[in-house]
Formats: sequence, structure tokens, C-alpha cells
Amino acid sequence: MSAFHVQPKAAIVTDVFPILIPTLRIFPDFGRFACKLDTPPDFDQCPGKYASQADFFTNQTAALLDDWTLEFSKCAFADAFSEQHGDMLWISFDLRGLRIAKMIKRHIGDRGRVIYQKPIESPYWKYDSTREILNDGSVVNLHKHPGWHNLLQLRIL
Amino acid sequence: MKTDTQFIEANSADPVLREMARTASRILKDYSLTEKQRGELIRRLQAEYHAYKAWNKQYRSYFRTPRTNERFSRTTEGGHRD
Repeated sequence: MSAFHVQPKAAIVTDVFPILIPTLRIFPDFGRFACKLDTPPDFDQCPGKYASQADFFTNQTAALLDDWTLEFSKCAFADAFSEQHGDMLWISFDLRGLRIAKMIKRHIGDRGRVIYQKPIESPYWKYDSTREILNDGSVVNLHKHPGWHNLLQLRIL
Repeated sequence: MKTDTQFIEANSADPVLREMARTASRILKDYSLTEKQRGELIRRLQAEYHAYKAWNKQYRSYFRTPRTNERFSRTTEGGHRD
């Protein structure tokens, strides 16, 4: 063994706990960003096998999500980056996002997972930061702190 | 620090107020926060509570429909309005 033994890089979590079904993570971000779809490794090789991002949304939920993200873009910047608190009603905003996530889950059913993450700009983000909507509409907390790798570790399908 | 504070809004019909009460309880039970941080969060939540109540009061008035007025709800036996 060399004196300058280099520790091998830890395998990324997706190698150990692969994503088996498409997982939609809803979290608002600046730049009109609303959601991200995590797909299984063979998603591109098997067209039609899994639900695509378009399958998660109806016209109604897409419009609602767009309005919700627009509200975040308008109000959250002043609230997050200025010393004075802005006009953002974070609790109401989170509940509306959760309601949209429930509508999306009701539409997609078993074909995908829907996870709602509170924006980190929210002053209450550490409380119930990451929640998954189940098939029956109930909401479960996935982890205390947001992190996509935690989502994979806790829910092995 | 009291950890058994019961908020009236915890039994509210409005889910936003219920969530605010729940968040307030979580903040009061969070021992990882300093006193200053806890005070700031609670004050912020209180300001948000009052702002939401004011917004709700203004918003609700725009959609007040005459649901109890007989003039709009009375019908004949055949289902036609008078």
C-alpha cells in the first residue's frame, strides 16, 4: 500500500438504492423552477415503460403550479435576501403547494412518487421539510432535513 | 420553556391556522434554537398570522354569495324558479 493511500470516493447513493419509479420532487426555486423528475436508470432505454414528466400533470395542475411558482418568484426574493421581512405568507404558500402535490399524486397514482419539499427560503423550512404524498392522499414526513439521497435511503421500492 | 402550550387555532376549521398552530408548537419544542432565534420565529409567525387573517377577511368578502336568501333558492315543485 502506498504511503499516500487515497481513499476511494464513496459510491453515490443511486448506485446502492436505485430509483425504481419516476419520482417528482416539487420545490420552488428562483428562475420559475417548480419541480424535478428523478427517473430510473433505464428510463431513456425503455420509452413508454415509465411515466414521463408530462404524465404527472394535467392542464389544471400545470397552471396551478405555474402560478404558485410565479408567486414565489415575486415575493420570496425580498423576503429571503433583505433584512426586513417581506410580505410572503409562508405557511399558506406551503399548504397550497402541498395541495397541488396531492392533486398531482391523485392524477399519477401508482405510476410515480410525488414528494413536496419546502423552500429553504422559508423561515420554517426545517419543520416537515420533506413530505411524500401517498396513494390515499395522506402525507408522511420522509426526513428531518432535505436531501435527495435521504429520500432514496428511506424508501426502497 | 413550556412544551404543552395549546393553541386555540389548533382546532380551527381553516387548515392554514391549524398549520400555524402546529408550527408554533414545533418552534416552542425545538431545543436546538436559541432564545433569540425562537423569539424571532414566533414573532414572525405571529405577524404572518395577523397578515393572513387580514388577507382572508378581505378576500372572503369578494366571494360572498346569497346562499341563505330565499329569493335565490326558492323553487317550485317542478324544479322551476318563481
